[in-house]
Amino acid sequence: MTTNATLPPRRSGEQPVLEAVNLKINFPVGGGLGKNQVVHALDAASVALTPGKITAVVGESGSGKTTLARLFARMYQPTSGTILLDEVPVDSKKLGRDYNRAVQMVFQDPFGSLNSMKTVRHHLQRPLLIHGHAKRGQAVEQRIHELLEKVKLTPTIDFIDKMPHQLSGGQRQRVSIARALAVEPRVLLADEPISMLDVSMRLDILNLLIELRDVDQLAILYITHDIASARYLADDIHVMYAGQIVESGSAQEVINGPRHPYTRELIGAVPDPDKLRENNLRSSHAERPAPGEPPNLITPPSGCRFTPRCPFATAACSEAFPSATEIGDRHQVACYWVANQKSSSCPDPV
Amino acid sequence: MRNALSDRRAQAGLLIALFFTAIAIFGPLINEHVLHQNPLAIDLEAFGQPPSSAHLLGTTSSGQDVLAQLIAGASQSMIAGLVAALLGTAIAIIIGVTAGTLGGRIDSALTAVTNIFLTLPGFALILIVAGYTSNAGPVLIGTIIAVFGWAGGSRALRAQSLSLRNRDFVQASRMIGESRIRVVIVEVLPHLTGWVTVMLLMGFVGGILSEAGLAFLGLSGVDTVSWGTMISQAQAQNALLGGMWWWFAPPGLCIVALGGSVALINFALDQSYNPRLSGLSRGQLNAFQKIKKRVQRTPKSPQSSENVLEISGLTVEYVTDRGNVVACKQVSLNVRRGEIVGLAGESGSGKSTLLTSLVRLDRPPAVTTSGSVLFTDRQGKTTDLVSQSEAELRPLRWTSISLVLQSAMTALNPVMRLGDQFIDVLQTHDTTLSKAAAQKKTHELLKNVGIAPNRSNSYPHEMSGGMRQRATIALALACDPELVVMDEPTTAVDVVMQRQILANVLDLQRKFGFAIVFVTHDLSLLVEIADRIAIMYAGKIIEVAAAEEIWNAPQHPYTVGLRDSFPPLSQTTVSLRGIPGAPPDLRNPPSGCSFHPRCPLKFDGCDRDEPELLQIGETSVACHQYEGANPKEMVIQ
Repeated sequence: MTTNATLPPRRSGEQPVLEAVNLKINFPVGGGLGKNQVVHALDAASVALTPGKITAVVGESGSGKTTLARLFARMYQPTSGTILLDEVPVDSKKLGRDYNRAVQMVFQDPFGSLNSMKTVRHHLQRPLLIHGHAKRGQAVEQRIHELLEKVKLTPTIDFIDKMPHQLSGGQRQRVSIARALAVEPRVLLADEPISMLDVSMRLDILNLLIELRDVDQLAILYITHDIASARYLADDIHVMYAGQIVESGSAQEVINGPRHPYTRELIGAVPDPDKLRENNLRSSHAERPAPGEPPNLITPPSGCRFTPRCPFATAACSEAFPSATEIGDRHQVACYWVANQKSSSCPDPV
Repeated sequence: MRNALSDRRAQAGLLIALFFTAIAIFGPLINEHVLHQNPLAIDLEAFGQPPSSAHLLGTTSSGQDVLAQLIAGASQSMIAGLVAALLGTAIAIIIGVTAGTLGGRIDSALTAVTNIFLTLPGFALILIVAGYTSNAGPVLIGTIIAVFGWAGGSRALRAQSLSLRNRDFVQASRMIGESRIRVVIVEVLPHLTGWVTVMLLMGFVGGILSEAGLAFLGLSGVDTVSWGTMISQAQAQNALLGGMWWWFAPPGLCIVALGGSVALINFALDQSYNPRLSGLSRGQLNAFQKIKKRVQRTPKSPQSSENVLEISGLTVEYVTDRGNVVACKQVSLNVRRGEIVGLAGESGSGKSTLLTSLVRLDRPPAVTTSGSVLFTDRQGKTTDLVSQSEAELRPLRWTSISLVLQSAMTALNPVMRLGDQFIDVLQTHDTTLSKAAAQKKTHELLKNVGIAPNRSNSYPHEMSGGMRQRATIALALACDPELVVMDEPTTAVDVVMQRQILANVLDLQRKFGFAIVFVTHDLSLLVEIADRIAIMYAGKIIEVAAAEEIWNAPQHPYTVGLRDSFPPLSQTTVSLRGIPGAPPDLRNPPSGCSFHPRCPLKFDGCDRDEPELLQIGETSVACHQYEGANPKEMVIQ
């Protein structure tokens, strides 16, 4: 927390409820034969979650976005860096219910995240009883109905005694969200909550998250690889590549005006039927460069990990990961090329 | 569990087990009040007698009544079995589940202990311990057996709880603040019921057999009667040589019957916990055969030689015990030579069923009940794929139609080098091809998809996911097919790689002119690559139109809803609504138009009549709102 660059971009005057500062984690892998190899899964990530805001973290598989969510959920211990809850560092030893009371999670797989042998009632009454939000009996029952109402599983009486296998994927994900809400948290971590749902049911879940942000003022972390959904939902966005956050800013600004070479490539690759005429796979005959792929994170490239694929890479890129360059209101890009452009105030060539 | 109890084998097994349990409990009473026999009473007047009305199963060489001994012995065997089962399983649960859920050092220590017990020569130790404790009763024997026999089950339970520990629902209950002990008891343990039941049953049988074995060796009390001591004494008194079968056969048969009953229950339980083991039920098979016979094929000719594929009236059903499920209903679709046809739909829309049926890879319980799939090759020869036998289809596979699946790792052979798999395919379809020529062709094919020739020496696991998927595409093009069917070929790869792969596929398609049927749930992707798109819902094609039309002017309310379920990437963000409700359950489809329960435009009649596919300009759409608009142009495509 020494320089400004290590702090996540903040909205002025708003107090983050949960904040990751320079979070880094290495996972040991079974090297065998005495080799102690580690996967450098996440490198110096700083993300702040603010009440009433949805912060998206986008990236491809293996970019570290789910690892970040699980660090926030305290399923892993970070190798270094700090998590601040209400600006107070979270003690790694003192875990438990106080943290969980503030921070809850919705998992990706609506089939795996509910216990297939328990009813909807069981899933919702446990958090109520554990956190004392309702005592036994009528109060619990009433609160469960309120929660089902909240996630729009109505009429609630039809759902309360259902087993998970009697529900559709979308309905299960609502139960999963209701379970998290039963704790009455201030932060909701949503790890790819729609990726396993049928397309026609995704928007309802996204709209529910929007309602939780606007009405209940929750701070929401939205992890996704679906960039269009992040644009629909999020206020702020962080783009990750191979365990590093390469670009952050308001969702509209980052997605409509990406600056980092990787963000440009990523957003250029998303199918966009509304721009069919300008950017169509079928009409382009240009020679394509050999496809690049994310690096092996056991032996990641030094410095910026995008260097081997980057058309603008220079020797400096391999030396150290660039500190963030502020290029707009809270819009930060970790890239030497972008920083040079800004300092020489060249117009954007692309 | 309930399924298992309705299984006839389980019922038979339970009946036998209950019979022996009753005998074990009421044995002394039966002996005293019904038979008026004391199993240990020596009657020198009546030694070695064959069965008679006085002694229903004859007597031993000391004149003891065999039936009375058999009845008295039941309780000894059952007690040994029960103690072994209950105690052994309890130890296994405590050690195995603790190790599996706590992990770390506790796991290492407990696993070490388990492994030591696993390597101990169990029965030899049982012999030694039993030998030192003379007059070992059934409880002691059961205990000894449990102490030496829990390790195997414990390992299984540890493995199970280890995998459960990382499941999301366990993580989720930790997340809401559930205590560790409750997580184990309330969330994890119920999932181990199947394992625990099987362990109890196995422990029971093991206990009975070991008790018999120990008694046979003379290691149980002299004054107790059990099935084992009966056989032991019969052996000691040369009953076999003396032809006294009534002495040793009944206890032997009882042991077999009790063990067999447990095995029967076990079979049924195993099948109910792992339904995949069972295959088709007899009812399913009968129904399946009947349908196969009923389906009649009438030779058809294609509407146009321009169509490489003409699917008409294709219906595919899944045969289940509770009637047939129609997964694909009267599907008709043409694919023109060199055309890219997209097939979009959600889960349960029937798109995967249609795909497997048209490449004739459907397997029971799926059966094609009507319709035809006409394939016309470049020379103009037409084949109805539905009526072909597997042998007749083989020459068409890969040279005419090839397939790219979602998971490249399963499409490629993990123990073969990439190049060898290509050479294998090439030489299978062209037996005259030399190895050198096949190698040259392999390098060419790999180069087509941007893979360096030297990678042909790699194994699939040495390649990245994107490279594997490109290799599968190259493999699908190996024999110059006229139609390539692609089932979600890029769902498993990242979006940057997806674009590169698709650009590559489109380049090759332009170069070689094959047609593509591309199946995906991602409509926004299809719009970019397909010429025409067919939308499927609840087993039917509900709209077919040019790709841009589907996006810019969708006709069917479902297509409209599906399109609006994709938030825009560049257009202004507006609040969007998905489609209310969920896709229908095909086991119980809605009446009339299957979309009517979710349709914002439904009117009277939608829940009654099934709409036909109508031609509206260039678009085909199955929706009642278009009926009567231009009835003259109603053409069923």
